[in-house]
Amino acid sequence: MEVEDVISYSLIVGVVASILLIIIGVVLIFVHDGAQGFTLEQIGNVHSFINTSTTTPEKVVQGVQKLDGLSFVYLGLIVLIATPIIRVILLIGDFLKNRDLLYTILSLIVLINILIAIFIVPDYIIK
Amino acid sequence: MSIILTFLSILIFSMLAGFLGSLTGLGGGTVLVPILTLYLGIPIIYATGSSLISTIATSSGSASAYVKERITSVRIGISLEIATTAGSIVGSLTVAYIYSLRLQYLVYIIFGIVLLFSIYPTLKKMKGEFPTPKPPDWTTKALNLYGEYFDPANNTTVKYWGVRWWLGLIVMFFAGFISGLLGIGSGALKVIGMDYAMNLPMKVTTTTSNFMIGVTAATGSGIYWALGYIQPFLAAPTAIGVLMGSLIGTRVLVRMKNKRIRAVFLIILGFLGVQMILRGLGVL
Repeated sequence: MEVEDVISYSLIVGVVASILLIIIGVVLIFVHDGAQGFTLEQIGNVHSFINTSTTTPEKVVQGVQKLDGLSFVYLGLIVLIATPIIRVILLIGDFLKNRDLLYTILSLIVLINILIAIFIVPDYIIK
Repeated sequence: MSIILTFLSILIFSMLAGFLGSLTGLGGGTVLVPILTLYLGIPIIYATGSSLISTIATSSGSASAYVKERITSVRIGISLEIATTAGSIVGSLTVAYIYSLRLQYLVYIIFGIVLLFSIYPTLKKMKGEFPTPKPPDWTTKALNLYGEYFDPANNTTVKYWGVRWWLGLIVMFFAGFISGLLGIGSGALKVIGMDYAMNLPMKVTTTTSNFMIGVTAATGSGIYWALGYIQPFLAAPTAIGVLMGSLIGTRVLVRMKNKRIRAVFLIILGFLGVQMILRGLGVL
């Protein structure tokens, strides 16, 4: 299988998995009439104070084990964001395999930019 | 309005946005943010956050098919993503600064202007002619920015060479900046970068632009996540709705030959653009 096929499958698997997790999460929120200790009204309000800054990866992992709806939605969003990142990592692997130094470096720069946006900027610049 | 009704209306409006976005080739976000803010009363911060998330879903979904068919140029994509991701970081931080100063109206106005400017490349794309080939320059030679793809409409294999990679890179930085600033894929700007600056065929341009949008949006959403711009209960129906709407749009697009129908969509874009500017100016 060529790298294009691997990328193609990983993208579609990532999208389908994340959409399924999000749907499960939404259903659980309605069934439990709330999630993560918040009421359905608090979660569903368009001006809701509940957003990605009010959760942590630990809360998401614990919540998923307890079948918490909001945690499933967050996990779905994380999988969705991770999908294109995995695509970049797959390409780095392929360029390395083909000994294409220039493109290995270019795709590494892309990955570093993404990692800066996810880990460095929030910890050192925003907070 | 009850929560389930709000949820369903967001889902339906998102499907509409995804449908319109795929017909015009602009992606869901460009239509989604005006709909969410103008008609559903969703704060612009959350609208852009949801939009950015939905952009990843549609980009990954359709990129999957284009990459498999070998129309997307993976090399051109990666070589330009170094600029789109950097631009996205700067754009996301800029909008965070704008919001911290409570200058939300600026985001409405910029969004409206970008919408109006998006009409032009969309009009041009409707013609869909092939560019006159130009000899590669040293930048595109060094990066091996060439390729070929099979075009079933004309039953030929199209070979192409890119030019002026450096100019494409500059345009892509701005595309990434706008993506981070407004929570959209900014496909229109990416198309300008590859079509005008790099002289690539339209099919390669649109599919490679689409391929890059996922990575650009993932970068921006890293910062959006930390800033709390993503409201899970809004992001859920928009991601699902836009993805479904764009899948339907792609099917319809294949059969749709009437250019007048697409012209109607462009009028809708213009209408939304003017409305966003008016909202920003405090008129609406």
